[in-house]
Amino acid sequence: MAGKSARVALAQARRLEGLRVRGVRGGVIAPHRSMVGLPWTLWRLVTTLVLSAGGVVLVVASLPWVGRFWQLIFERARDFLGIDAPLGDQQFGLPGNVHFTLPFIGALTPQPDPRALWIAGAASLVVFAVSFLLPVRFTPLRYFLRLLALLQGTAILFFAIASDPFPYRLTDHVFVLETAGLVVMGLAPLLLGFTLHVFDLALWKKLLLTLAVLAHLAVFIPLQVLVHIWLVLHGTALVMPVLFLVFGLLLDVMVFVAFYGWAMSWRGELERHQVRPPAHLGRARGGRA
Amino acid sequence: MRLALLIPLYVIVAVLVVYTIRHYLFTLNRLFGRHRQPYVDIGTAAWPRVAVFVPCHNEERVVAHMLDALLACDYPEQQLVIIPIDDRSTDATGRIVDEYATRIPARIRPLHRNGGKPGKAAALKEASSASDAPIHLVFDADYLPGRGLIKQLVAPFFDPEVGAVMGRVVPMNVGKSLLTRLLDLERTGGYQVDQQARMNLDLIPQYGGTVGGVRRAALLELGGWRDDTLAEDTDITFQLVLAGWEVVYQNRSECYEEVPETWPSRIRQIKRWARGHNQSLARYWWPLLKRPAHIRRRTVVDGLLLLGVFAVGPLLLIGWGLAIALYYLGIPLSAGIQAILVVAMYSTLGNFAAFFEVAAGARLDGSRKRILLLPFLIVGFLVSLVSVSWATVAQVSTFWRRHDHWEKTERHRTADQKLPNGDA
Amino acid sequence: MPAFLALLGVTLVWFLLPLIPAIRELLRPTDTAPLRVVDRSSGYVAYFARNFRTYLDKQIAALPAEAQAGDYLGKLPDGTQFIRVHKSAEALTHEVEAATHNRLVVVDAPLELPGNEMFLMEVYARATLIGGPNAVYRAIYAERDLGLGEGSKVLRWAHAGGTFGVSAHTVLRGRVTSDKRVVLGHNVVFERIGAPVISVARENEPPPPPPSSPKEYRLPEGSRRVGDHMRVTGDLDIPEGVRFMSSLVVSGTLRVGLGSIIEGSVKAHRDVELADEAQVHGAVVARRRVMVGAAAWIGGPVIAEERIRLGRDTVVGGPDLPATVSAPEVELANGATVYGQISAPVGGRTF
Repeated sequence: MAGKSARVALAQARRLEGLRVRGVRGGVIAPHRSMVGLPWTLWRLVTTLVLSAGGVVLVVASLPWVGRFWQLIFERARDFLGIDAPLGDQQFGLPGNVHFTLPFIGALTPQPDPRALWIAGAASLVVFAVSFLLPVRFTPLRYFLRLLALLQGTAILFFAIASDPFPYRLTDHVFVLETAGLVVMGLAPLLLGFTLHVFDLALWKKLLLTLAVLAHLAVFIPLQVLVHIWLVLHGTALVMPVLFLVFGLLLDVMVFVAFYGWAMSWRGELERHQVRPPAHLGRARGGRA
Repeated sequence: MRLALLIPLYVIVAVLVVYTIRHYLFTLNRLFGRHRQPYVDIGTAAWPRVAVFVPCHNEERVVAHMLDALLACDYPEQQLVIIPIDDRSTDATGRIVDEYATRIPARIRPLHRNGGKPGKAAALKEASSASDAPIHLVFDADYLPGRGLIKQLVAPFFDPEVGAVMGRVVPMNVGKSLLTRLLDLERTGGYQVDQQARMNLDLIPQYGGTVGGVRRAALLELGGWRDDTLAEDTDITFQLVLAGWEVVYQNRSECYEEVPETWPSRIRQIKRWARGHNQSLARYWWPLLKRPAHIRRRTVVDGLLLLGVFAVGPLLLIGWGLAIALYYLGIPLSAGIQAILVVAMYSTLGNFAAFFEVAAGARLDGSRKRILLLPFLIVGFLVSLVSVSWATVAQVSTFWRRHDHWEKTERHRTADQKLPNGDA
Repeated sequence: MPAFLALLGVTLVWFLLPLIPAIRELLRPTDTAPLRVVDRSSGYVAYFARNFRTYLDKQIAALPAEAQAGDYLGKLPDGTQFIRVHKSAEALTHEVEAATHNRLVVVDAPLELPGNEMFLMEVYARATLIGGPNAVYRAIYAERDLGLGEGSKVLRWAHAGGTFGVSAHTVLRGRVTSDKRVVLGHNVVFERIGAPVISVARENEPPPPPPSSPKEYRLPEGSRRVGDHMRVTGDLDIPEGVRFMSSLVVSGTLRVGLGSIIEGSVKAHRDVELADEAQVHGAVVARRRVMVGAAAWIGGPVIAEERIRLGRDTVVGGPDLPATVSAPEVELANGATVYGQISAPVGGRTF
């Protein structure tokens, strides 16, 4: 009996507490944005830690499968693209008895001849000139094209005047992109831990996003590497600097930012629980009091 | 050769890492830290006399809106004087201002400048010396203060240590273009997170030159506004802090502004900010580093980082230049894994810090959907990076000539445009 | 080449996949309205009450003629259930189910309630309303005097056009305002109060100037002038019975002795402690706590970032000198009087 009356009292207290944040017309009166912060709960703290640590463990544990998956993609792509070079793999070991291999294509890195330099130079000039023809509302694109042209210009300059050979082979390029991509994948759950999981999103949404980021990168990185391989094989080492510096790791980070921005636009649990007016008030009639 | 490039690169990366950590700390503090707005609940008081300065140069499109908004404020009439400073306008600004002054002579007392040094700093210096009101507030002509804003901005001055107060700037023309939407996000990060975190942590919130003001006694002690700077706001912030005054940010005191709607306008604005801010960097880094007894170490660190914020752009470009040079020189593969790890970690964690700040701010604002544009912020960053670097290089190259040219931000509003519907 | 283009296409599509929400928002904006800058709700303590009054006036004006007078049970034009009580509480009690009122209540005549009611919607009283003990109100707007019985609870706000009396052990959540005065009983819990005079039990006025001019206090060596105030490093104890002629900022704790007078404002980076009968003519600001003894007077706002305690018969402000007392927690002793506003968002109480 005592339990029942305590429950009744608790229900009434909650009902009254709910009324405290309702306006004249039933809408929720949220605290002003300048005053709000993010209240912690033990549940959120625990799930944040579990999701972050679990995500890293998942990445590390799945490295052998990721490596095998990438090998499979490389095999199919080599035939599909008609690349006449052997497929190789490099073995790695991590603490915890985790061993995995990453694929590469053992092709020689074609070096640019003078004709290629002239063509690249002309193309860079065209890109540079086009950037000035674009309307001002495309200013970011104008700047991007100019930076791209300048960067390509440095590559042309290097191959035109440097006495030393270009210090990288295609296999180095592939190796760096793959390992850097894996580092980004390993960091992603940690980064999401203190930038996303700390917010009041539902647990399943956080889990889903972590998996989506990892799955996306796991597919994107080998595709990106294969595009680079084809471009280097056909465009010579002349395109490697631009590919590495602009279209390498930066794209992986962009993928992460895109997922993050999407997730941060989702409705949080606090908001979800605020929008329903109490039953006796019927539908919410207006927002703020 | 390689070492000669590596050492400066490491130094630059170290500086950038410090800024990255600062971004994360500020954002996490804003989300979870103790929220300081001690003066925001002062709603009843014996309000002091206030002079509101509105520097105007060719502001015919917006100045009437501004004056109407100020006249509608709930500050006691006899305690408030509005001083529009018509700084050699060639459009109808002077006439509009005079019409208001004729109608309401007790409250609107314009100052027309036809000579002297041009620019906002010089205009403020001249106008403020003619007012004996104990509190001087400043608004740009395109701003739209709400009814209660003057009281909110004056309230912190009851604290005798407060020398300057800054409110939050809220863009009103958000939906005009991608640029305005990106600037809205940037402002959100800058005010809702960055400035408030500085306030929470008792560091140096920056007085931003508008939606805020200074105490006349402090201004007098410092010799008035400096007119040899393009950023009189940053300048006064550091002068005040060095002299022992507090600068306060009040997140609740919001005011609409019009952000640039075109890229050229934005580029001009950020170049001017960069040049002005760099002037302050050159002036105050050493006095700050010497650390007067009343300033704490962490405040010095924050102050130096704040002063250097526009130097980060060129520093980043130099870093990229060094990285590219090193790339061509070749990274030995034996050290590759560690190098890759470091580069990948920095690229991810470092680049992401600003996105986190902006997204957190917008979420606190309750504007979830605009966070979707987060990836596009990179285009804004690119333009800012190039513009700021270009301005800095030009500034360094013309250092000895001391050629400071004030470039006004273009206004896009029309006189009959519908204004945002707040209590404003 | 076609194979490569296919690969490039697949890679591009895969890359763009997470960017689809961003591109969609870019092309079909859904969130481009400027943040709504509504700035009066914070500074204006009676904002919600006035807002309700405006709302109700519009709703009642739109009612049919038969609903404009006399006892009435019906709906407002926006669908809100309401009951009008014209003469006595009888009409009201007829509609009570287990003493819980789910309707908006409009009271036309002076009314005294028995107590223990629960009003889950607003109560609007055109005349004096005296509540009984242990009642719960969501919100009340009284055009004239308003009294709350012992142990009552207000959930959102309450406003009185006349005197607002609050009996002991009452809990006042949200904003409480009066156009004349608020008189609080013992052990009242509150958050925000605004009225020309707010007092605990009895009302006091600012003290008259002292009969003889106390001797002037000189600051210790090492203090320095910053603009219009003096700055002292460390703690500062001002002895009893002296007068200090300027504003003062102390980097530690400031203690002002019995009956001493500060003719400016004071601020301490730790605590401010004012002894009995001390006076500060300007504002008092503390990074931590402001502790004020009995019969002291403060002319300006009192601001602390942790707690404020006003002692017995202490006065803040004056009839022509409105002021605010603001801290997360505020405690008011018997006879403490504030001319203006009190803000204690974490919790205020009388003792």
